[in-house]
Amino acid sequence: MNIDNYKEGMELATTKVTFDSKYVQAYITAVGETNRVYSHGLTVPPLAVTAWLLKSVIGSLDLPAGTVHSSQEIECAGIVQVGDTVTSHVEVEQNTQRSQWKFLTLTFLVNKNLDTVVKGKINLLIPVE
Amino acid sequence: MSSPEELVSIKKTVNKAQVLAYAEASGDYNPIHIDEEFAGGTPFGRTVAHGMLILSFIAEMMTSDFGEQWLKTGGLKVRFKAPVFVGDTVYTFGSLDRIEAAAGSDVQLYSVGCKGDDGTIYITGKASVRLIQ
Repeated sequence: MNIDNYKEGMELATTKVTFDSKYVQAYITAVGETNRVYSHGLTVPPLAVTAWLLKSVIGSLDLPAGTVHSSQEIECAGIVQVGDTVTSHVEVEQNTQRSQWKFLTLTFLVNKNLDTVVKGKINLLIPVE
Repeated sequence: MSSPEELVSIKKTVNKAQVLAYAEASGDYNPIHIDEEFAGGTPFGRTVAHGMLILSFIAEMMTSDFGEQWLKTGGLKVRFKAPVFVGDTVYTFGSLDRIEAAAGSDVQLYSVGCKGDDGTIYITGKASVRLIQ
């Protein structure tokens, strides 16, 4: 869908994932995380949860190459473990254009069962093609 | 749990292998991060590291200081101010702004960010974590 069709208040399709140790290990290795809380390989870093959400959101939006991540908010509300299944709930807060850039703001919740474990906001700068 | 005035800085030098590993782990294959030819035609002029990769260094600093309490109650609100290129060295920083009374447990509020060797601010923002009562 064209980015112009994402209107304020619109909810994006819910996505779901069960985190496995392969994903978590790849993330921890890539970022060079060394803290002991991750050494047993069972805890999913909150930013790994957010990275998954970004992948699922950006993948579904079909954003153009050159899109820039301009700011990020996250709030952690619970620990996510390997084997946990979470769902994303993403809503368009803002979609405006100034000059040659679109400003897209998305708010999100990541829920485990009925509890929110991570929530936040993503701001993207999208080049006008 | 204590409320350190200054958080322990983490130093990381970003290399191409790390950017590629992050792209693979996160699934973020935006060519601005991995395609030199494409990135050369953007205002950045060359590939830039993923903002979320650099942000993870701040999360590592917070986890180092606050452990599981960070995972359960932490918050980050940041802006990506400048691109980090392959070869850049990044230093995290964090200093206590104040402790705010809140229902249940007080909240520690920090100014946090990442900067470079030359003082360039790559990321700046706020972090919060609740005190264990």
